[in-house]
Amino acid sequence: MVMEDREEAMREADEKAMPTRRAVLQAALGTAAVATLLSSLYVGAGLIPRVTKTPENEPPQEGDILVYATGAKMNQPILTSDLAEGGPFQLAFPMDPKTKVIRNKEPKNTLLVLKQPPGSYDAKVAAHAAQGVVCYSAICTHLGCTVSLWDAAQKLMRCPCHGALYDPRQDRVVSGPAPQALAQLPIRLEGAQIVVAGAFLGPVGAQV
Amino acid sequence: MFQWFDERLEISRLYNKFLRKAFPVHHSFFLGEIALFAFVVLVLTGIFLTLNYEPSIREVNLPDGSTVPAAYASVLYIDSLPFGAVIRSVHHWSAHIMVAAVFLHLLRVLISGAYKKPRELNWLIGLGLLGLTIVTAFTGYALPYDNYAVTATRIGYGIGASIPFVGGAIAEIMFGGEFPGSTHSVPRLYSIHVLWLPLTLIALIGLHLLIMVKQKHTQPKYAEKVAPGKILGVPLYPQQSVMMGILFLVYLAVTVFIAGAFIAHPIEAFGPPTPQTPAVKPDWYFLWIYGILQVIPSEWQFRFFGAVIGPEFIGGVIVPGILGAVAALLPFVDVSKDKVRYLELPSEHPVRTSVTLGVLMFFIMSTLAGYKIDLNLSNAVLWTLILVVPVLTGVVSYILLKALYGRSWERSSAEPQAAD
Ligand code: HEM
Ligand code: FES
Repeated sequence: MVMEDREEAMREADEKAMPTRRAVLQAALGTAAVATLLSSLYVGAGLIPRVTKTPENEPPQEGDILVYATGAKMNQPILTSDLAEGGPFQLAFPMDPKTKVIRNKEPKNTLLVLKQPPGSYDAKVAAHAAQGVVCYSAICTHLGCTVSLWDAAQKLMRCPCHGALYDPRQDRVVSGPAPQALAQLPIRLEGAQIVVAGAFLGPVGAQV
Repeated sequence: MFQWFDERLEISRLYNKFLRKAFPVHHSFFLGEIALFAFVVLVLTGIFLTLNYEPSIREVNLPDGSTVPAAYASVLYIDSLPFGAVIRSVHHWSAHIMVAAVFLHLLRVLISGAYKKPRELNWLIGLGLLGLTIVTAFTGYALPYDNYAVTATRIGYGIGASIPFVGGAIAEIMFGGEFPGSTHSVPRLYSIHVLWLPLTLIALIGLHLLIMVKQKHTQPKYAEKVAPGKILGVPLYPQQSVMMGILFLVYLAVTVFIAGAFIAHPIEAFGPPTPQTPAVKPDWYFLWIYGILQVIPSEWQFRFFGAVIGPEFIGGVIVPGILGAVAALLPFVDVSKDKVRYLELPSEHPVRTSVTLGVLMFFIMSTLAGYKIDLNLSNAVLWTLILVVPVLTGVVSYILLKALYGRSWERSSAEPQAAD
């Protein structure tokens, strides 16, 4: 008889404790789930790599001189006398003249330089050109290929990937899928060498 | 001996239950098997490649004095091994064959109505397999790190990054930073290509096959005439296994021959990456997207809650996304009341068949647009081709089907089953 009473009492106590117990367990599970989510997001953020800045991947700096990016004279300074007036253009990288570091570890530093009759530019472009020499980012604003073809007949620059056509005289897209014109890079001349005179005048790389 | 194992492992039960599974014999049923063979060959040749491939773009010097990325140099080394170039070529060719076989397998399932109840799940898994196969091929493409592959992959990076809001993060995670340029890219793509995607593929292929065994094949039409209501086919063991074994050997012989005769992706000819991008074309299964990108003008750009919806996103993500979504919804729209047991004849489902032909024509016309510059075609002409020819194809197919088979539709519409 006594035994049964005790059993009864225990069962009652048990049932009363049920909601509390459930709440504690639910809270514990919830906390664990949130902690797991937060920590996996924190660890997962490591999937986006850290970028270390080195002189080789810095953007063009004022005072850098332009060197050939391709061809037999690769890494040598481009001289204005080498550029034929009316095209074609040359692909270039900026080089720090003191340390001789060529900034070619960042593809977006690929530049193109060309010479046109000084009168052929519109005022906006001419303001940052020097004696008919202009410099643009060579990275197509469409999907990031290098604008590497010269259309000699129309005197326009063509991207080989999806055929965007750029006009170097008015800094605009003539046709094709590119959403924006190429960013101009201001330059000046020191003797026959082409020197960077400022930062890009617009966004560089694929504009997506 | 057999008995010893049988008492412990119940082999005879497995044999009766599983190895006697009836496989219907129909030539179109081999497409899925070819995809499987291609995958097996990819795994085997891929393991060989990993043993000498170096996933890094650190600069190394070649004997001729030039400096190239280590990945490029290691693939040159693979090519110099006995049969190394052939094995690499088999790997590359099998990637093409696997994509093609999975796609054709899907077409077979589509035009025979085999996606309907109860096989909706396997239809969805199949779509996932097609997507994963293409992504796997894409991640492997950049690994040799030659000028051509790098340029093509760069375009893929741009398309990924064009997705509003999340694209930048997705592209950075998948490519380990900005591609090209980041030193993390090749190790990241390598791990994804040789580990994560193959494991996922193996799991999904396993699931696909298990479900197929459980649900049984759709039966070819002749089975209905020969033994209505019964399952007709050859048992998995021994007949079907022998057929598969022979087919695998034939597959191997043919691909090794093709791969040896036409070396895929000759990286020596493409050279290491230079600042100058070559005029690249993507692999054939991307050409239709490439073509659409060529004809979308740059003005198709608008802002949406601060994000830019640009032509790349429209051409590279939205258009394929719509096609994928329509395919995924198909078995839930085109429903059947009863479980489908027999293959449906394309001629008796004229709407589905003509729409399928129209979509195929859309792929062909968009692919043609990929040759816009080479063929000197204008946007106006290409847009007309892309929009009009598929519709025309669908309409003409329907008219032809009606002329040829219209009589039998009337007869069968008297019976309840053929409603489409
Ligand atoms: C376990 C499975 C796999 C492993 C271990 C593997 C391994 C590799 C390795 C190490 C490379 C770089 C070496 C080279 O480029 O020659 C490579 C390249 C490649 N892989 Fe795979 N792979 C596997 C599966 C696949 C699959 C399923 C596909 C496509 C459906 C595929 C498509 C490619 C392609 C297109 C290349 C470029 C080949 C070339 O250089 O010409 N791979 N794979
Ligand atoms: S990347 Fe230049 S046109 Fe597409």
